Amino acid sequence: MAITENTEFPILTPPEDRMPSGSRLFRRPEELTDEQFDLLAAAWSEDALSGEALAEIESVLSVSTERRNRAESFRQIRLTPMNESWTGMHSSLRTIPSFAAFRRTIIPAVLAVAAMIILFVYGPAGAKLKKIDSGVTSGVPAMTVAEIPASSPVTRVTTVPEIRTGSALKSLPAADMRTPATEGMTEMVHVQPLALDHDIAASLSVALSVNNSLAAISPKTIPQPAETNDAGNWMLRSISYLASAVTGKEKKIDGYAIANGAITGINTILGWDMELEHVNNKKGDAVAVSFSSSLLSFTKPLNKSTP
Amino acid sequence: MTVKEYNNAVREFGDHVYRFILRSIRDSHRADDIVQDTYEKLWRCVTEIEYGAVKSWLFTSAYNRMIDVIRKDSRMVGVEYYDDSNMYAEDNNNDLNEVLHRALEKLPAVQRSVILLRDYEGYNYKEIGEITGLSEAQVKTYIFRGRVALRNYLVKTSVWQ
Repeated sequence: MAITENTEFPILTPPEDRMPSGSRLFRRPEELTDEQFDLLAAAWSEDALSGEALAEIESVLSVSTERRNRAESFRQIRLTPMNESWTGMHSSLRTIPSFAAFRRTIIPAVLAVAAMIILFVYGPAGAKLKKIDSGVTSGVPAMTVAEIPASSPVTRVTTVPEIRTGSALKSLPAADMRTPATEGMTEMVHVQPLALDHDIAASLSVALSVNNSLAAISPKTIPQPAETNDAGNWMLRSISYLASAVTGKEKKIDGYAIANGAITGINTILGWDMELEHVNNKKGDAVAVSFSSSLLSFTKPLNKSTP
Repeated sequence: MTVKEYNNAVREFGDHVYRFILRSIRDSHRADDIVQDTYEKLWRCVTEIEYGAVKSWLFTSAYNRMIDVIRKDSRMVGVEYYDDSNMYAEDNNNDLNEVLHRALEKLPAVQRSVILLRDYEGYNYKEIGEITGLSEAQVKTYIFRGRVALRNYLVKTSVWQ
């Protein structure tokens, strides 16, 4: 029933229809409904109450065991994570710039250095080093040690590097090779003859000029040194050696394919734009190779003797 | 934030953000997309964000992205229109955590999100409010009402006598 405040025509309201007032407006904690209590208990279970609200629910819990148990049950309503894991995590990871720079520059540089070392070792420079090195070679010996009776004075023959120049041999004067200190020796000695591999007659003349006893050494007993390839193919020989070492088979090397693959790889890694192309004649035969880049362009005729 | 810190944020918080979104949206593919988008957004402004604030930033960004997706799909169930007519079916599973997660799926999206942030990540009401864009009082109300709803689920599905 609505209360009217019409002062001109006041209406008396029966006492039972009046709104509660005075002390009747107050509610005691025990009068909370279950719904109201649950909301308060949920907040209490989270320690989110303070002041009067906390005192009020504490007073309720102290007088009602049922409501205390009800409030305590809210403390058990807590979710704990299950075994969910994000499968796309790795795709969101980013490469650290320094590592990317390392991957783009240092690794190719190291690989290039390693390739150069391999080519150096197995190329002509490496072979030359082995020959010069004090007679200790791992391959077929270029010099032979012969044992001869030293009935006559024996001259110590020193190693003469680069005595072989093509097919001609330099004749060194015998006097240049003798040392007075060694004259008159009678015991067996080891004599290192000169490198004799091509021209036997010239070799004999050199040997006789050094000492007569050296004539007893047959040049046929001296094994021929390994045939060295011409220096122009050393890179291909190295690559061929590597290919056969990896695959275990003899591989015919296509120099153009290797160079083109290397250029493609460099373009991919470093983002450059280099090109290598065949230049063909009218018959369709490759006559030259054309290289072009932003810095350098040249055309080189193909050598028919090289693969 | 450096790239290394960004990667740490992916490793350290990726699972947290994903499970929050997954439990909120209940769709693993969409959850994956949302988290991917969130980290993509983080990467674009990686230099502007401090590592100490990145977790909160990730949750806020992922939550907003999730709301956008839900609105776009017209699948958002608002508090006012939430239908709980089929909420209380018999549940014979005695594992309280699993039952609670099933009950959670029946809550309105906002209540679900705030309860997940509170229970999974341990955020306080103010932080939850900053992430969800709600006031602290609203956060409290949603959490307390959500707890009451979860308890009612347990009682009415006979998990709790």
